[in-house]
Amino acid sequence: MLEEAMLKSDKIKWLIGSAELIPAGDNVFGGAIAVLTIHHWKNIEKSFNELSRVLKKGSHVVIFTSTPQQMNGYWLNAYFPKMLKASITKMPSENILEAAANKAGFKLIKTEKYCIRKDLNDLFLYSGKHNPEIYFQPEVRNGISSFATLANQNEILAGLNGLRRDISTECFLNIKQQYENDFGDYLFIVFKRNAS
Amino acid sequence: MIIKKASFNQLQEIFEIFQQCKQALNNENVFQWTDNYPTLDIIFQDIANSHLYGLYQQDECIGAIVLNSIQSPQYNAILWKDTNGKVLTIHRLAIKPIYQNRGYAKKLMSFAEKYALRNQFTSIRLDTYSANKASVKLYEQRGYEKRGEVSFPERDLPFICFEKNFN
Repeated sequence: MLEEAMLKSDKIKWLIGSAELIPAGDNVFGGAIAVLTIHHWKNIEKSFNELSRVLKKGSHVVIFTSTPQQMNGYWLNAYFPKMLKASITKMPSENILEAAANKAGFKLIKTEKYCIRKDLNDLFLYSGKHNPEIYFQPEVRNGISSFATLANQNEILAGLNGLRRDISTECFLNIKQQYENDFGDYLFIVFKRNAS
Repeated sequence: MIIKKASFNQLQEIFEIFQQCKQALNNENVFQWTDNYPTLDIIFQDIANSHLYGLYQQDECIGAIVLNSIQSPQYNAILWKDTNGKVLTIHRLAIKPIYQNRGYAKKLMSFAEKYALRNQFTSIRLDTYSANKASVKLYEQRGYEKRGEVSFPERDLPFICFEKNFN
């Protein structure tokens, strides 16, 4: 992953580390972004403490994630219920993030929901929202942690069969309709490191 | 070994205990906890409300118990003996699978009972899945009396409601 990042820019100094242990000094960064990663953090409180340590006072952290509520609202639940539940149970809610952030000296500044657009090409969990065909590609599923680590093979087969059966029928449209909601698919959460 | 209120710092460590216990129960075909229970958020609420106590061996949390007065609506249909007293409820008792069968759940139960007495509770209520023989036995051995059965969604078998009275 680091090698791929290096190909994108050789001006940036890329470091490898974890949210709980960032290989950098104190008060050195002007901001932080965390995109689709917080569900992999092993200790949320420790991670925010670490962010607080490496960030300059007054700087921002932008977290991009999907909340349990948003995940519950995705039609993919109809086909892979066990897999999604396993993902959702361990997904940190906004409340948990805010509590950890507050303890570490951050304030919640704003949240903004994000809805998947038809031209999305990131190939993560929601990537097939408007283009379900891509879930049939094993290489796409392998890049989605829910499919790759939380699902059992029987459920994947059954879910894909069901999806294949429904996909071009009214049944699929009905299921999608049942899951329509205003929660958005992802959420931007912006925290600001307290000045003092 | 000590029992103390769990701190937020241990949220995911403790959540992992419940995940492991659920898996261990499922391996024995005891489907007490569903795929979406307990969530990280439920455990967070337990810790944030100071309801979750952990059993610690050095720094490692090896078991957990939740003490509060929250009763599921299903409890209304049960004929409890203590109808006017101060009722403590026990939820989410769990011991990390590799530490099970060593009497640690008894330690947590005994802590809960002492907590109840110290805080003037007049009875304890709890429920457990009827298929979970080990936990049914644990409560019976400690003098909890069966008051009836309730059903929770997505589970085939009933949950047994137990009560222990201190008056």
